[in-house]
Amino acid sequence: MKKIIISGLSILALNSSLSAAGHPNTGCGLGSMLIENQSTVLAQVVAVTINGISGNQTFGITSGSVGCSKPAKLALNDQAQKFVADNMDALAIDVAAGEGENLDTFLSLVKVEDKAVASAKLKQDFAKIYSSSDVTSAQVIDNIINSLS
Amino acid sequence: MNRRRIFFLLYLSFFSSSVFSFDFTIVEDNKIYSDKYWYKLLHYKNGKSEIDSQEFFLAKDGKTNPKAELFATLDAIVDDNSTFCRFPSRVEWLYQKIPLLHKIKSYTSCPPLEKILKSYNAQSVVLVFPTAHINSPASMFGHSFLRIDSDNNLSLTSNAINYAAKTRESNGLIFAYQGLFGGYEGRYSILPYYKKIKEYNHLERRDIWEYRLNLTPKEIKKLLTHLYELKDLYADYYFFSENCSYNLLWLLEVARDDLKLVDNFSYKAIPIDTIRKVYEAGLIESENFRASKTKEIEAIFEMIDEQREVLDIIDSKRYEDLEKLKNSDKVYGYDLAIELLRLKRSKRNIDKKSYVKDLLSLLRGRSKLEKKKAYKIKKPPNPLLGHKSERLSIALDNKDTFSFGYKPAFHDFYDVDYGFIGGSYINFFHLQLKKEKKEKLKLEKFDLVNIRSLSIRDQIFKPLSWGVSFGLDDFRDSIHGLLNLEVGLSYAIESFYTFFMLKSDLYMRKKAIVSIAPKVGIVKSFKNLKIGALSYKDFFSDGITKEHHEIFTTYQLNQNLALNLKYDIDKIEQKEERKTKVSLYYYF
Repeated sequence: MKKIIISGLSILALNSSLSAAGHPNTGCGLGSMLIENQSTVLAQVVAVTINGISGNQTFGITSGSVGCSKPAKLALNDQAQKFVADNMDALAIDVAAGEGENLDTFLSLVKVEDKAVASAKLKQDFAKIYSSSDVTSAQVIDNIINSLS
Repeated sequence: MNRRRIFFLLYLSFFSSSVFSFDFTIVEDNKIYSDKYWYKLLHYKNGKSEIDSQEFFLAKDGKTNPKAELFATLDAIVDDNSTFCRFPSRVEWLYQKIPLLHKIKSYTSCPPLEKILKSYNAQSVVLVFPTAHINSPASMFGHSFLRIDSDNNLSLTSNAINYAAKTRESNGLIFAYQGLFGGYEGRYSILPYYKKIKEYNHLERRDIWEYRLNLTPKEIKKLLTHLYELKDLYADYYFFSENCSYNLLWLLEVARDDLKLVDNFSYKAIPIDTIRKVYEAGLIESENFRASKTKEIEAIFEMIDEQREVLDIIDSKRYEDLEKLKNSDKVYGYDLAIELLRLKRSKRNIDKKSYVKDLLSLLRGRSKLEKKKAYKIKKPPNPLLGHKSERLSIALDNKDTFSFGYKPAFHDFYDVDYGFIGGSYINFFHLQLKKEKKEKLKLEKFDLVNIRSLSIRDQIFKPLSWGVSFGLDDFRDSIHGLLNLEVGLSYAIESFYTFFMLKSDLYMRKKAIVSIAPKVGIVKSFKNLKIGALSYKDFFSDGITKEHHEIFTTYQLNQNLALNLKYDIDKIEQKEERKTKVSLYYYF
C-alpha cells in the first residue's frame, strides 16, 4: 500500500524520487541488479515506499529474455533462459557456494535429477563457468551444460 | 419487463426454434442479476462497480446497473463470439445459472486463456506479505500480493499477481494528491516471484511472510479466469482504501463463492488487516517466513569469531586477506563480503564495472572453499498475532482528569511491539481529548500523522533514527498548530532500544514559538509487555524552558486489550507537576 502523507509535508521535500518504474533491471550479464533510488529521509516520509507502484505490466506467458542471445546447447527452455538472465548474480553466488534456492530452481528447470552431485560439480567448475566479467547468460548456460555433461 | 429483455426474448425466438417453448423468465424469477456472485464479478459495491474502465461494461449504465449489465452480457453472448474471451468468468457463470443458454448458443472456451491456465498448472495460492521497510516506518503498513504455485515446488518462478498504481510521477506533492484522491490507474499484473523478492527482500530489505491459502485448483481456475477478464482494465487507485491489498480480496471472493471480504473495508484497507480477514475466513493453511537481506547479513556476521578483523578486511577491500583467516571465519567472511558488496551496489556506492570485478574475484575464492555453511535466522512473531490496527483508549490520572483517544491506525511507542517491526511507529489521525475536573471536555492533541523510526546502529548498518509529526496541540492553554521533527541515533543495549535525539517543535498560533531539545530514551518490548522511559528539555524561543520525564509500561491482556501505566514529571521554569495515569487500550 502506498502511503503518502499529506500534501503539506511534501513541500519540505522537493526532490522525492520514488518511482520504481525506472529500475535498470535488464541485461544478460553480471551486475544487472535492482538499484535503490536515492532518496532523502524527508522524501521517504512523503514518498515513502514504492509499494503499489510499478512500471511494467505483463500478463501471460513470457518467453525468452528480451535482447539476450540464446544459448547454443539449451533448446526450447525459455523459462530456464529467462531465469538465468534475470538472476545472473544470485545464481553465480549459489554456484560458488555449492547450494541455494536460485541454483536449485535452475537445476529443476533444466531437469537435473541429482542436484547435490550437479551442484558440487558446478562449484568445482566455477572459474570455467564464469570465465570473465562480461560473460553472458547464454554463455553461462552453455558452460553449465558443458560442465554437467 | 424492460426493453432490452423484450428484445432479447424476441431475438431468441426468432433465431432458435428450440427456445420458443422455453420459459426464459428464469432470469427474472430467480433475480439472477441481483445474485451476490454477479455483484462480485462486477466488483459491485455500494451501488456501483469499482472498475473504472468503460470497456468493462457492455451496458451503457453497467457501472451502476447490474441488471442492465447482465442482459447486455446475455445479448453479447448470443451476438458476439468474442464475448467468450472477453468475459470468460461471466460467461461461464451465466451458462451455469441459465442452462437454457446452451440451447441458444453453444458454449465455447477461450483458447488463449486455456493456454495460460495450462502453462500455470496452478495447484495452490500463496498470499504474500512484505512487511515494513527497515527505517521507513511510512512503509510499515506493508504491501501484499498473490503467488500462484504449480506442482513443481519452484516458488521463485511462480507467477506473482500484483495490483498496483502506475505512475512515473516524481513530484511528491502531485504524487500525494493523486494517490489520495484516485488520480492513478490501478491494474493487476503478473510477474515472476523472483522479481518481487529482489524488490522487497533484497533491495528494500523487508521480511516477507508467505501465507499458503487452501483454495482448490478449481477455485484457483476461477480466480485466474476472472483475472484474465480484468487484464486490460483498471480501477482508480486510492492509497488508503482501494489499494493493492484490498483489490486482491475481489479475486479471492470470485474464487470462492461464499467469501465475504471486501465488505469489511470502507475508508481504509491496511494490508495486515486484509490478511487478518482472510485468516478469519479460514483461508490460511500455513505460513512461511523469508528473511530480508538485512537479517541474512546479520546472521552471517554473528557466525564470525573475529568480527572486527573481517569487517576491516571488507571495508578496506583487502579481499585477498580473507584467505589468511582461520577456516570457519574464512567461509563466513567470504559470504559476508559478497553480500555487503551486493548491498553497496544496490545503493549505488560502487560502479558496475568494479562491482562485477570484485564479485567475480570473491566468488572464485569462495568456490574453492567448502559448501555453504548454515546460519540461523530467528523467525519473528507472525504479524497476524500483533494487536489490531484501530485503537480506542480511555484514561484516568491522579488529578481526576479523564482522557479519551482514538486512532484509526496503526502502532506507536506505547503499543506492545509483538508482531510489529520494533522501533517503527506510525499513527494517523490520532485524536486525544481530555476532561479535567470541573472543566469542559477539550482537545488535548491531534496528530494528523506521527512517524517515529528508531533504527539500531551496529557494526554493519549505520542508519539514522528520526521522527516527524504534525497536527494540533494544547500548548500553554490554547490550541496551537504543531510541527515536530527529530533526528538522532539508536543503539541496542542488551536488546533495549536506546536513543539519543535532537528534537525541534514549532508551535503556531498568532505567532510562532520554536523549541529545541535534547531527548534521550529507552524502550523494550517483550511478548506482551513493554517498558520504556524518556526525557527531554525544551528551550523555547521566548526564553522559557520545559523539562519532561516519563516512565511507562504497557501490558497486553490479549490481542484486543492492553493496559498502560505512565508516570510523568513536567517542570516549566520553577513549577513542577507530577502525574500518574492509567489507560485502557482497546484494539479492533
